[in-house]
Amino acid sequence: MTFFTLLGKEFANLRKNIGVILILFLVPLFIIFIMGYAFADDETQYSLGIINNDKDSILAQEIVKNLDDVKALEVYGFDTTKGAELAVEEGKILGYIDIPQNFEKNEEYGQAQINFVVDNTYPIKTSALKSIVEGYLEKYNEKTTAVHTAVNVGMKVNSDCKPDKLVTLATDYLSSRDNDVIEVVTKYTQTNQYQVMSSFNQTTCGMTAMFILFLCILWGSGNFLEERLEGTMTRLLVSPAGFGTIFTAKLFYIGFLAFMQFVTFFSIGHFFLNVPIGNSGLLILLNLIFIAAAAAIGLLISLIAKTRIMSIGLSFFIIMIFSPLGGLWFPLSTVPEILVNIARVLPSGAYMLAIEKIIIKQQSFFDILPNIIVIIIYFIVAWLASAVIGIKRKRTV
Amino acid sequence: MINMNELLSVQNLVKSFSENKVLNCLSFKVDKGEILGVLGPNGAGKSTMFNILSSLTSADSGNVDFSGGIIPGTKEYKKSIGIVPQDISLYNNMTVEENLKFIGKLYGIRGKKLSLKVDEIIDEVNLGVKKKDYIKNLSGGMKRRVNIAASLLHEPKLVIMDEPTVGVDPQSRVDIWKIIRNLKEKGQSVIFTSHYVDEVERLSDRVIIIKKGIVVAEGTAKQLVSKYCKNYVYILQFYSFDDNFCKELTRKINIVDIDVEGDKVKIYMDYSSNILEYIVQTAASLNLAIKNIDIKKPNLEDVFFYFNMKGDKV
Repeated sequence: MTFFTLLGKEFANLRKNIGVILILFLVPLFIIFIMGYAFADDETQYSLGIINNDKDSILAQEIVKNLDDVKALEVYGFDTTKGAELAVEEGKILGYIDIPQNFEKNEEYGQAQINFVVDNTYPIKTSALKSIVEGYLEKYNEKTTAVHTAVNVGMKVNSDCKPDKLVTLATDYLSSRDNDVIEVVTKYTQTNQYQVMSSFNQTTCGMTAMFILFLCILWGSGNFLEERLEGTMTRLLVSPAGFGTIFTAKLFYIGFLAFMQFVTFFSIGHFFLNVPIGNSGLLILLNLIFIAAAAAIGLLISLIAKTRIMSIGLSFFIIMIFSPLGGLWFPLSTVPEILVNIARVLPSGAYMLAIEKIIIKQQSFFDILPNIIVIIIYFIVAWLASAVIGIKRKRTV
Repeated sequence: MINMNELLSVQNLVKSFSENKVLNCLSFKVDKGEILGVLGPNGAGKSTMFNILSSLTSADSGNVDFSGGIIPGTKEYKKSIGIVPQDISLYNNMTVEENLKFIGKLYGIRGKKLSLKVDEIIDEVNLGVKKKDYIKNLSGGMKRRVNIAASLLHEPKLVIMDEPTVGVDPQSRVDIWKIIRNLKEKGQSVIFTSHYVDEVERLSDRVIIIKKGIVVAEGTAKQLVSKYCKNYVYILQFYSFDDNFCKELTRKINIVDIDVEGDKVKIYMDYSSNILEYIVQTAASLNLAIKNIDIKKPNLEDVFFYFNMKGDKV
């Protein structure tokens, strides 16, 4: 019961600080979005495959040539749809357009279709490629519709035809058409075959880890220290609550908030930013262990620090080391090998490597075990050091 | 072992921090329904004693026995004692009522009983109108009273107060005295430390004086005064002073001690009806004009001063 009394007090205090809840949840989300877009794809060229099944068609050739001339596109030709699909799976191209047989013939009647298949693993890249291809075809449609109309109308008029007659003929022609000259049918595919994190995968995972560190280390140590400095820890320690219950309740409270952060950020990442979840059980396990380690580090800092300034300084120092070196700000795939090796022995780096294995590579528990062990070592060391300091302090209080 | 009337018995407590021995075989006892005042200079070991009795720290050796065989440090012991720390140990962002309810729950009081107890204790410390106020908005004296109230909710058998009146206004000080007296009336025991010797003299049934981690004097305030400070203090102020006055007076009468501070002389000696006559005659014989004479009856402060300044010589 005492445990719930202590827990209730923490949540009651949190309820009085709505601003804190906003900081805990909205600020990270804001940063996830901002950084996701900021670091998204500074590529200038997007790879596009083309399968031309109407090879003799001048129109199809013209479209292929024109797309090839677009500077933002790197065009690869494929003989079969299967070949193009494989290339998408392997990450060689981001999407492809499939020009069907009889394309030109159908075009004449405004019934031509182009199938556009695009990999949606990276939403930003997808949207960029989509707008380039569809933008081009839209312009093409406008131009060719005008040409078609002129030709069609021209065939039906003589030299003394009045302007209003021309308008009527053109309107009749346009209303007789089913579609634009070419209709683009876009299909999305999800590959999950890429071995690197996309921008939103990176920021969702990285920022979740960073804000778990902020919550558990900076806020957690501050919460513990405040009890000590305000003298309320004495009140708790002289009560029948017991040392273990007091600290467990506090750790549970911090851990609960951190877990809610993880759930919120990954849910939004998954449903709005296409961040894959992989094995959700493993993902939850990894985050629980990471939260426990971060909370233990926070507890240790609260016991080492004598003042709030010292606690804030130490917390920032640790977070600022763990974040960039652990690959929370930018993908570990983009840093030199030596930094990757450093990341392997940091809890944040172990977290990011494990999360990549879970959500991108779909690997098993045994694949992430080495990373989990690194995080557990931090938990044990921080917890033991806290216990030693706590016992020593009880002797010297 | 503890006898029937005793609530707490402390025997030979020893506590060292590195080389510094803070408690050096400290022993004392508290009877049921008794108010025990603890005096001692800074560094005497009062806070360490307080922390050991509060189970915040452990002694290197020695025993603390509590009535009924309750073992110190256990939940039962913590429920039997009420601790009033020197620093305000309340949550600033919670109201008076919220603080008390939270602390009451820690002691296992719940439901209607808790609400009734909180209301009762708030009335007892005279803070009924401040019930819904945040602690951060209270005055220092009010905070002290809530700090005490928080320690009394569970009706402990023994209340241990570390300087409960430090830094409060005179009215709050009187209110706190009332609370302490009420506890005694209810049969609860109180141990309290204070730097205000008059307060200890006024409230305590018994007083212990601690110096260098050991009890150097123990008894009622009256007993201590009659045992250690029988001397009256005659405080003379001269217009101009001559050292020969001290020599001449010492030759004539039996003086325990004499202190000279500028033109002010303090003479410590047994009370005698004709002593003033000797003093005035001696001054007149040396042509010294007396500006003022004050006679001070010895009190607990003198005993404290005696042990503080000269106790080592005893």
